[in-house]
Amino acid sequence: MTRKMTPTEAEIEALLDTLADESAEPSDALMASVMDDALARQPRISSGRRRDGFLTQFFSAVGGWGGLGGLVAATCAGVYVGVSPPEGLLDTMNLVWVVDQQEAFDSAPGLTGFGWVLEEDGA
Amino acid sequence: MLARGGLAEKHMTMPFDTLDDASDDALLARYATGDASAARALTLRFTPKVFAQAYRMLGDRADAEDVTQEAMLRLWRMAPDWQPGQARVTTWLFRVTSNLATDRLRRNRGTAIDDVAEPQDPAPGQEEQMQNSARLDAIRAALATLPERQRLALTLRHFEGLSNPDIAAQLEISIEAVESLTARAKRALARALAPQKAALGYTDD
Repeated sequence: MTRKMTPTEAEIEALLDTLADESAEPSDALMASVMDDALARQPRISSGRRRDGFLTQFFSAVGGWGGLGGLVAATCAGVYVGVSPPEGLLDTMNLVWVVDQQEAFDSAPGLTGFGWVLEEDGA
Repeated sequence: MLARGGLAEKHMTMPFDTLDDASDDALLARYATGDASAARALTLRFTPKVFAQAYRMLGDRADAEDVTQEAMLRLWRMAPDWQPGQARVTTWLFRVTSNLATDRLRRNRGTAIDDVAEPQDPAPGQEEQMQNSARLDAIRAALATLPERQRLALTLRHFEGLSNPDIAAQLEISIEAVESLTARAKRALARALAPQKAALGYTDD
């Protein structure tokens, strides 16, 4: 019974073809508003190249990862030479460091200042 | 394109009228680089197709306009990420439009019962027209009940006139799968329409 009530395949296809024949043209207003959307959403990169941020620019200026690696190696070598210079090279760091320490010790008001030693002796 | 190569070489950019010959992929790529003439060419090329499809599925101009605008918005948003050669722009748009129209039909059906006008006594000759329109509304509603792939396979065949091998290529499935999808889709439509068969003016066999 229910099978009898079901539309046949031919009827379904005829319905689909009738639907396919339905056609409509878009209005001018719709075309205009789609066009407005298209321009409003369009990426603004007519030159085809975006300006990079500072770090990205720096990175590519030093030559990418290879250049960055070289910079790091050079920095480490510099620090090493400064801390532990080879023989024959003036030990600048030691010079500055030791003199500074000495002066700091001499000029700093220590426990001997303000006559505290005297006071304690007197007590 | 090749025939116009000499002409194109004389200009730094392609002259506007040759955009009509540019492939969909090429136009999208130009759009994504900010070329306003590509935006115009894409609008002229696709909006009428999308609107016709939306109207077929919805049967209402206002709804079809909303769906068209939304489908085209998605095209503009997708343009910078489009991978040329992977799928056809037309099939991508067909799917987006089909899904948007189906969502709208399903949503509308919830409120449609209240919106149905009181039936009027049809003038002679009008009856057939009304029945035809009722049939189309019924098949539209039935299409909206189908799963996406069944709906796409069936409508690509009947609306776009694609062959089974074409549909298979576009949906990236086998030809057998397309045949199975369309057969199942027709059975599902028949089941969905069965309760209304008498009302639609069909006589029982």
